[in-house]
Parts: sequence; C-alpha cells; structure tokens
Amino acid sequence: MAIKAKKLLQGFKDIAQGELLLRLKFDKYLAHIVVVAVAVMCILFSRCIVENVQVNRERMRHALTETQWKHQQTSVELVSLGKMSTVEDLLKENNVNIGKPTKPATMIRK
Amino acid sequence: MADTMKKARKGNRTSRLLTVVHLLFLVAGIGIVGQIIYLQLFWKPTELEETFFGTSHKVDTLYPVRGAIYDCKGRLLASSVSMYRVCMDCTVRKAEFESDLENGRIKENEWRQKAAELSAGLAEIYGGSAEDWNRKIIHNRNNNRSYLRIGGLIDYQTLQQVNALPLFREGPFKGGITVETEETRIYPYGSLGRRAIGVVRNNQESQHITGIEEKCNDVLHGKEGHQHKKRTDVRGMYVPGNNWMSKKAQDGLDVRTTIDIDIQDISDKALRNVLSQNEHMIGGCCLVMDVETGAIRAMVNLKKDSNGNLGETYNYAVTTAQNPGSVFKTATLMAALDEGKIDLHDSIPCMDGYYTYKGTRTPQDHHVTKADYPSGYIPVDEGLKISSNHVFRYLGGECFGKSERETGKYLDLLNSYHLFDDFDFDINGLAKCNVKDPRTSGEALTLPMVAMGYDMATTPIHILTFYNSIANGGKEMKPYMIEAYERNGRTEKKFSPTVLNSSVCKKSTVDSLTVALLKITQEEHGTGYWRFRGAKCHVAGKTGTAFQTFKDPATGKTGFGGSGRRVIQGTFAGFFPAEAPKYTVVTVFYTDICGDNLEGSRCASAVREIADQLYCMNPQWGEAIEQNTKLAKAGERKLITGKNNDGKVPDVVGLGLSDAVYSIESCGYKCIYEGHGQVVSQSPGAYSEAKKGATVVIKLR
Repeated sequence: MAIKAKKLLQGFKDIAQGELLLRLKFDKYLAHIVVVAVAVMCILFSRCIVENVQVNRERMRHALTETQWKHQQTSVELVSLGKMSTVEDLLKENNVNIGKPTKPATMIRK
Repeated sequence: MADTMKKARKGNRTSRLLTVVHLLFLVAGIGIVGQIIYLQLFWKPTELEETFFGTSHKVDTLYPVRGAIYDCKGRLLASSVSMYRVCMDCTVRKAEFESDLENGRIKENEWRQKAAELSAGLAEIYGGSAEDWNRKIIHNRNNNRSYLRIGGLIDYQTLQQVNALPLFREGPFKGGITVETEETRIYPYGSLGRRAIGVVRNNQESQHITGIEEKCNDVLHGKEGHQHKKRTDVRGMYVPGNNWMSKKAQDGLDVRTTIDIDIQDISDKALRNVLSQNEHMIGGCCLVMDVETGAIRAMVNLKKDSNGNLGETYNYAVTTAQNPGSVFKTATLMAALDEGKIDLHDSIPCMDGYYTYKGTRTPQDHHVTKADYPSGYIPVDEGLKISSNHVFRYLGGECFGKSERETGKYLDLLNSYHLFDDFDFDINGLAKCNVKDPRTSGEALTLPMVAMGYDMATTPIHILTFYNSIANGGKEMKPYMIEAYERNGRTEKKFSPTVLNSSVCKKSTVDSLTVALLKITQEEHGTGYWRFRGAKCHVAGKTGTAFQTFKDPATGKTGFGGSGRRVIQGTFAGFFPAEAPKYTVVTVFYTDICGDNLEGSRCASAVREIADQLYCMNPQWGEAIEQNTKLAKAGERKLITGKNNDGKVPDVVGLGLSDAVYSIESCGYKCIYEGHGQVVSQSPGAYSEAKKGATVVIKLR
C-alpha cells in the first residue's frame, strides 16, 4: 500500500516535471508518437480541405443547375418560334411574300 | 571551478524556465481536456447556439426531372423548366435599426427610400403601380409581417432583372429577398395538340393529367432519391454527407410521339376554318394517320366555349362514340362485296326511295325517286357516290337480312373490321363502342339502320382505323401515338406498329372500294365533288351526316328531333393521294340543336386544305428530272449587301431568288417577286437611287 502511494506520488511528480513519458520509457516510441500526431493533423487538415471542396462543388452545382434551366428556357423559347403558323405571322408582319410551297419540290433523280 | 559553477547555475535557471513553461502547458492541457469533457457530456446549447454551432444533418429528397415529350422529328412538345417565385421579408433589419438609438432612424429612412425604388422596379416587371407595391411593403413592415409574395412564377431571365433591383441586390439578409424554385411543365407550341399531348402542372401533380402525359406518367415521372447532408461552417451551406446512404434520383424517360407538329398545325388551322363557319358547330376533331404504320400524325380537338372561342378542352376523337352515319356505308359495302353478295356495278331497284323490310316500310329516300332514276334502278357505286340511304338499307336487308345466320355473319364481319373494339390506345378514356344486334333488338328496321350507320356508337378513331385499312390495301393497323422511350437521345424502348387484321377483305374489294370512294370526290353529283374540285391531288373518301338522339328541352322528348331541330355529327373520312395513299384523314364536327342543313361535306373542306398542303410539302410527289439535265449555270459574282452598298438599288439580275431577296433587303429595301428561276429584270433598275424602305420588284424566269 505504501509502495503504491509512493508510486502514485512519484507519478504526479513526474507529470509536474514533465518526465512521465521518460519514466515510462516512451522515448523509444517518440517517432511513433510524432507520426501519429502528424497523421491526426493531416486527417483534420484534409477534412477541412474536403469540406471546402464540397462547398465549392455545391456552389458550382447550383450554378450548373441554373445554367441548365436557363438553357432549357431558351430552348423552349426558340422552339416556340419555329411553329409554322408563328413563322407565317412573322413573315406577314415584315411584309415578306415568302409562303408555303404551291407544288411539291422537283427532285433530281439519278 | 568558478566557470563550472556558473554553468551549473545557468543550467538550473534554464531548467526552471522550462519547468514553468511545461507547467503552464500542463495546466492549459488539463483545462482543454476538462472543457471537452464538459461540452460533450454536460453542456446543453440554447436554440440559437444549436443553430450556429451544432453539427446539423438532414435528409433531402431528390426530385427527378420529368422527361420531355418530342414529336416524330425530335421537336420539343413538352419540357420541364425551373420557374421562380420571389418573396420578401419586409421586416429585415427592422429590429437592428430599432435597437440602434443613434443612427437607427436614418438607416430606417434609407431602407424605406430603397423600398420605394424597389417598388418602381417591381411595377415595371410585374405590372401594377409603384405606389401599390410600396404601400404593401411598408404596410407589412409596419405590422411585422415577414412574408410578402411578389407576383407569380417568373423565368430565369426575369429573376435576374428582379435580383438587380435596389434592396434586392443586397441579398436576403439586407434586402429580404427569398426565391422559391418550382419545377413547371411548359409547352412550347402552346395549346396545339393539348388534348393529345396532355397537360400537367409539374412532376409532383398526380391529378388532372390528360393525354400522353397521363398515359406515360410513370415513365415520365422518374424515381425520387434521397441524400444525406451536413451543414458546413460556410453560412447556410449544406454539403453531401454519407454518400453510401444516399440514393440518386432517376430522371424520367423522354417520350417520342408519332405526332408531326407541322401536320398538327396545318390540321388545327383547317379545322378552325370549318368550325368558324357556323355558330351551331360547337366542336370537332381532326385525325391524320400514316397509312403504312398506323401512326397518328395529328390529333386536333376543338370545342367552343361560352364566348365562341375554340380551344383544346375536350377530346372528341377518343371519348365521343355516336352514330357515324353515312361514313359507315363503306363498311356495309365492303362486307357485301367481300361476301360476293353484289358487284359494284350491280343495279338496285329504286322503289321510288322506299324499302320494305320485314313488313315495315322505311322513310323515303328523296335522292332515288322516279324522277331521279327513270329506269327505276341505281348502280351500287352510284348509291355510294350520292350517299343514298335507300341503297344501303336495301343492301343490308337483302344481302344480310334473309336469315339470322346471315345477319350474324354481317355482325361478325363488322367486328372483324374492329369498328367497335375496346383496344388499348395510347390515350386513356377510349369510349365504349357498340352496335345493336338486329336479331335481338326487337325492332324490324334495325338491320337497315345499322347498314346506314345508325343504331351504333363508334368513335372517330375507329372510323379512321377502318378507312386506313382500305388505304393500306386491306391491312388494318392499330392506331398508336407513342413511338419510343428515350434517355439522353438513346432509345430505351421502341414501339413497333401493330397489325390488327392482316386482311380485312380481299384485294379486289379494296380496289373496288377505292374506285367507288374516288367517285365521291371526283365525279359530279358526288357528295364531296365541289369541295375537292381543283385539289392538288386525288382524295378518296366518304362524307357523312348523322342525326344524333338528344333530349329536346322544348318538348322534353328524347329522339332525333324534327325538322329544324336536330343535333348533327358531320364527318369526312378519306385518304390521299388515292393512287398511292400516304395519309388517312378523318374530320368530324358536332352541333348543338340546329337546322338540318349542316351537311357533313363541310368537313371535306378541312381535308382538302390538309391534303393540298401536305401534298405540296412532300417532295416525293414532285416532278423528277434526270441528273444529267442541263440547268442554267449561275455566274460567280459578288453579292451586294448593306455593308458594301453605296445607297443605291443593288444589281440582282441573274441571281437566284434567295440571293436576290437577301441582297435587296439587306440594303434596306422591300422586295416583291413573281415567277420562278433566276432574276431576269428588276424595277427600279440596278444602281438607281431610291430611299430606304422603297419597294423593288423583280421578275424571275
């Protein structure tokens, strides 16, 4: 019991003096500790980068979706201008005499 | 010794300093670990803290994009676009200004000034007056109402204009603008073919869908997905979380239909011309079918509203089954010819227009009286040409009325023509068709009436299918409107034409019928002759004027009405060019209670218009010239345009029409031309001076 108390006290002393790891002979694992610490920092850092990339990707996705809708809207408007009766009305408005064919087109046959 | 002591004392000082630093870090580390334990186990955040500091996850439903609908040539008939609804939080920054005792009032006034400018912009875009808009915004702000809807749905371009307005351009947290996105269905060709294509508001709507949109709703809809998202430190941004738990939305397939929107447009215009002829014509339909495949190239359905305006509001083609009238006589003739009961040139006794069947005399047919046919006989093809009721009552009674077995045979033949079938069509709501059985009807004249096209109910699409079988040499094709399902331009599923009956009758019967139908439109006294005189091609077809039963509000009786009070269905069914049919057309009009002078041949005008235009648009029917024929060589010359013009009329002699028109119009003049070929003369002459906007007349040969 006394030995245990002595050991405990020694442990607190080592912590206070910063010699705990030396006491536990962790100095031979120093490289491992450093590697683990660096790995943890890299993981945290990469998660930040990933999150930033995801945020940018979401922004781009919103922009792309808006562009797609804009393209679709423009396509619809262009298609509606291609309606035969609309074209006829536009030609009439501009006093153009071009109209529908009055006979089938002549074909050149081999 | 002194140096060694000095070094030892220095070492102790360094050691003590490091110990102090170590202790500080130790205390800080213990504090951090303690705080972590406290936050994880004991700390409960407030709502605001949860919003800003809590890690939030959510599951978003991913909505699929509804598939598009195309016509047979790939032109867009229906598509989904994103529309936007702008709303405004009118109370934005109000609390902030109120709490600012120094400058709050000034800032509030500035905000209200910007709101006034915003109102002017909103009035320009959405309509209404700037004062109204300003009043709404200020009223909501004063009464702490944070939600104000700004107008209806707008497109992307308009949204950009709204975003650029004062106050709104500062963003949601200063200007109060919020934008809700709504996926909306849009139809580039407006109401053209609306009943056939169908209408749906958006991909989430499951009611009030019609047409192909309804039939293919499962295919067009796609499948919803879901995605897990987590909030990031960037304000308001959510990014995808665990992708392995997410499911992508599957966009709907595109549907390619058999409709040709140009033919639809032509048919729509032609039917409108017919229906606007008489106020009693309350609606009608027009169907165009490709002879070889049975593909429906156009389906027009127009109905007049209370103001007399025509609109695609009711699908007559599919849902209206009524007595077809005289167009049905062709079916009776087909049955009689095919069974060898008669020949086309056989003569039938006129009997002064009366026929007695099973002891009951029919009403008189005034077209075959003694005065019309002094010989007392009328050829069968003549009977079809003038649409004589007497001839077909006689044919029905004499060819198929001698025994129940013969009558049964006649009904079997009519059923083999699929005139009363309940087939699976590409639009829901196909009306139930039927024909009265003369063997069990209990009425003596049922068989003669059936032979004439009464005592039955059939739809225009059934009539179209039947006439198409004649045009197709006896092969009856099932009408269809859906050609394929596609995804990103690649065909996922294709629908082939289906044969309903590979041979409805003998080839000789088909030929005889074609000749007989051609007489209706080509020979004088034919019911369609005057409508088709001078047509660009030969149309073979039959007119029909059928009285329908109705409950007369004047008398309260149900029946065919009396003279001057009828309800009529007028029909024309035919195909063209008669020599090598490409299209079958059926046009029908329906009337309310009216006089009995609205004959079915009026529909023939629409068919004539459609046939003329389709014939001229199709080069396969054009003249052919040999490849080695000599043509005039166009000379090489520089085209005078507005860029290199010196304010004079350009020289266009020798140019083709398109070059000449381009040259003249780009120089600022108007062009009128006559003839074909190359320009041989122009007025005013080349290089003469003329003001911009003057007319230049060119002659081509």
